[in-house]
Amino acid sequence: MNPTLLSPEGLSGLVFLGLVAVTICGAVIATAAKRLIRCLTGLVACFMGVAGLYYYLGSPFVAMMQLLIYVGAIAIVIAFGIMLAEPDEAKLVKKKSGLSGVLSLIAGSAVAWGLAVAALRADWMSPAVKLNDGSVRDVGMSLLTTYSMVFELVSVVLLVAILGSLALARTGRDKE
Amino acid sequence: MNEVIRLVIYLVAIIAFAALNAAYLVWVERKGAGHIQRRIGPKEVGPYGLLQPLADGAKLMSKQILIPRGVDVPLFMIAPVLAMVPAIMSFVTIPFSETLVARDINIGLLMIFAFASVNIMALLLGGWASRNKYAVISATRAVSQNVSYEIPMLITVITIVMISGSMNLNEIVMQQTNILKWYIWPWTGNFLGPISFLLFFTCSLAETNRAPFDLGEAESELIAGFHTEYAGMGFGMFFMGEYANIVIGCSLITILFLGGWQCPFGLFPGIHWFLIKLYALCWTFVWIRWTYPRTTLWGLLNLSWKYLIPISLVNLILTAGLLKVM
Amino acid sequence: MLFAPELVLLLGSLLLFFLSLGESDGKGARNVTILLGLAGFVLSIITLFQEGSLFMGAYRIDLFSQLFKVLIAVGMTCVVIFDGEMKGISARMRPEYYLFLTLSCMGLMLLVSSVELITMFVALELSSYSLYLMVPMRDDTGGIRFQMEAAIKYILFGIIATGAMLYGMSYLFGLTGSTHLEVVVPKIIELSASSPAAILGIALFMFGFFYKLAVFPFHFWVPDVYEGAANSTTAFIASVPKLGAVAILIRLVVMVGPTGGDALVNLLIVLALCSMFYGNLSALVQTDVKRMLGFSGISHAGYVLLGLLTLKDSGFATSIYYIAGYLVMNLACFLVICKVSKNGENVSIDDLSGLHQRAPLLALTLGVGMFALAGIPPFVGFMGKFMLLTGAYKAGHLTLVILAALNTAIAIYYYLSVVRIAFCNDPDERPSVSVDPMTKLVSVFLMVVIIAMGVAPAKVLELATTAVRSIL
Repeated sequence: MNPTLLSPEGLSGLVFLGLVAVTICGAVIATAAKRLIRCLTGLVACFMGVAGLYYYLGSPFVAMMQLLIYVGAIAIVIAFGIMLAEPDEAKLVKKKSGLSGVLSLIAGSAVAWGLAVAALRADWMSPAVKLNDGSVRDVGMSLLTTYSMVFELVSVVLLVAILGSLALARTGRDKE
Repeated sequence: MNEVIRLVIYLVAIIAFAALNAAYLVWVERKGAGHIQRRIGPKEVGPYGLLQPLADGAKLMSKQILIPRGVDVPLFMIAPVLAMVPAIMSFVTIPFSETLVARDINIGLLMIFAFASVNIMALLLGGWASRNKYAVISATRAVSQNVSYEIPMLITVITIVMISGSMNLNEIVMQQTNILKWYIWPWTGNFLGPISFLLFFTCSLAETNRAPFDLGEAESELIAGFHTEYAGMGFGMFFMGEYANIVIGCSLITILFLGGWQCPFGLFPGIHWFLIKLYALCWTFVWIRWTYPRTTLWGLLNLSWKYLIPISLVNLILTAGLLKVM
Repeated sequence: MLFAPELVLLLGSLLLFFLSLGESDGKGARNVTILLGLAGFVLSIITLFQEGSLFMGAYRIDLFSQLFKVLIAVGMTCVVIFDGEMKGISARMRPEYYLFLTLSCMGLMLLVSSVELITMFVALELSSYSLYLMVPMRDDTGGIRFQMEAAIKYILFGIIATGAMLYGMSYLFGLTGSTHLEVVVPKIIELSASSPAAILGIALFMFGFFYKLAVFPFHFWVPDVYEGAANSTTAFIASVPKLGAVAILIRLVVMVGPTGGDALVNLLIVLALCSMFYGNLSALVQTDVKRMLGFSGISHAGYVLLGLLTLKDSGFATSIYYIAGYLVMNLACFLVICKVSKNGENVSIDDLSGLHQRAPLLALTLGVGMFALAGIPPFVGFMGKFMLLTGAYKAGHLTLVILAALNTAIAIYYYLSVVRIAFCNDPDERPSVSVDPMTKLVSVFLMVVIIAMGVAPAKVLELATTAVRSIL
């Protein structure tokens, strides 16, 4: 039975396809654009598409975190990096020779094909045994029970990242 | 299908609300500035200059959208849209009254902050795409400011979430049934409540790039900041986005600390209370803008990293401890 | 008590953090780190035969994990001791350097004990981030900032490997609906016969650890990072993280079990052969000792895979034996490099000329280490290679064994030419090298272990076999 375009199923299908399109277009821009800042914009679009997909799949919490963290923090940091490192607009990403482009296209599509075939043929766990509904409460509960170890460890990882960036960026302890 | 129609209606209403607010807040701002500076402010168009915003709007819309040579055209065009859309989206979860809310989702609070973070991207892209030194400097300033103030703001919000146990804005409002139960008071949850309020208020000022934190648009140094190169509706969108953000910031303060649509005395709760509180706060924003001088960039960043963030962290830890004990 | 080794390192890193706020010369931090390493060692030994499960089954203490923890603690202590003057490390980052070293070891210790995919991932990242940060902390004497280049390469390749690993994890989770190995294991074994996605998932998941182990297609970072990082950092990177990688690879290959792993075995064979040939052939032409040891490390990674691809307990046990041996052999060689280098600069093979006159003990250590790496009896390298080859032969991989043996022959050439230069060339004005007593102790310890493990492998192997059985 095919749902018509304007039925709820049809509309939600359209939304899904739209989100996939945004994600893929963003990814293509991110890899193909010549100006770094445009690559970044593509990346942001890709992040937003992925956030939309999470929302669509019923995990609004993850979707919002995706926006908050990836768009609001990571993309901004990358943008800052670009602005500080490359103020000269003339510096475009150099075109590689045509051959390497063709070869990487072949290699990339081979990998994508392999992964897709494996994914399509696999018996995925059916959604009936879905662990929880992805709400904040469930995420919180599992972070403090099943994944308590990870939850504690992540804080150490973050500590390392923060201390490391400070230690590397700091100057002047020896000047005192 | 009904749900879809309802959403469309809400969306239209929200856009109209945002646009009207932008228009009339400008009027309030100009009038307020005028009186604070012992002038009259706009007075020619309509009584008390009340039609001035409409005239301004008509002017902006009829102007040609100039695209200066050398700008990065696609990014230049996207930036104003990015400034506007997240601001509009944020209104979706704001409960104007118990029932008057477009989408009452459980993580509304988180959603507003998620969209607010997208907004930063717009400033950055707009400034960068303009290929104008002032715009770029302004963009970096605005973004570093936004990023630094987002941290204490989120931490403060977490304390409220901990006290109320919910990220649903409507539920947070429902818990503050009368003036004594507002989360601004020290006896509700955390004796640092007033400090949370001040932190959040300061951060909202900074997040919306308002004076005294409007380093991004310091007109004496940077012309008009990141939207220097924008003309017509391009500028208009940034402008609307900015005022929409002010309204959202004030709505959040209202909801989190001042009981949202609840009446202070427990009588006749509803949208009127929400609007009264909202506009009182908006007026405070205007008032602050015209009475305080602009800070320096370093002062601004130091304030956040050296004072607000540590204070908010202490606040968070204390709140957690108090909640555990009590 | 079960968690004691990790806990000590965790508290110790807190202490190091406070030290790093105050002092700036790093001496105190170094002493604390040595004490932590020793404490970790002792506590791992004490908990060696204990068993238990912590954190809702995400973390398991068994003989296997504790054995690896002992080795990690040994590696950590040795590296910190023989880098006595901290020559290669930028002066203003020394306290932080030790903090990250400790945290990296803690990450590895957590890694070998974790039996849950996300915990594994985070533990691995904890150790990797610390390593990424240690590389650019080299003293920038030449001003050419090649430590930065090394760090960037290390991070970028690391991220790609991590990405592949997470992708593999997503397959494993999607197929089994759990991230706990005890649930994932049986389901994957069941599925691996029919579903290519199961094998693909495991293979992708392994990539992250192949990267740490520097197996062939994930080796690109090795030469540049070894060259760009400070000598002692390289000593650490070259030896200790590989323990963690081998531990998890064994846990994963055990997952697939003796049946249904044809694709995986073939993959491992190809990777092992490529690593051996690539590593050995490239090592032949190197002039920088660290680069040479880097390439030799790639080939040794290939040998370790020989044990894994037998899919037998004895094979896994030999892999453990071999990687433990590799740890001490490698540390012995790096000890010499650290000491010979005057101000923390890189050491070329010619710089070792006449080492037997300049520092007899170091020359002896270098000789023992190189002989052992080359696989010459009676050292540990010989027994390791011998058992790996016989194991692979028994499992029916004759061609592989012949090619691996051929590689051993190639390897002898470059290892021994280093020894030849150290013993037969004249020192030509090169100054003598002073060695502090602690380092002497470490070098004697390493030599004794190399010889003891080579002469009497039975005890170690027995322990390793019991350890492997404990995770089944």
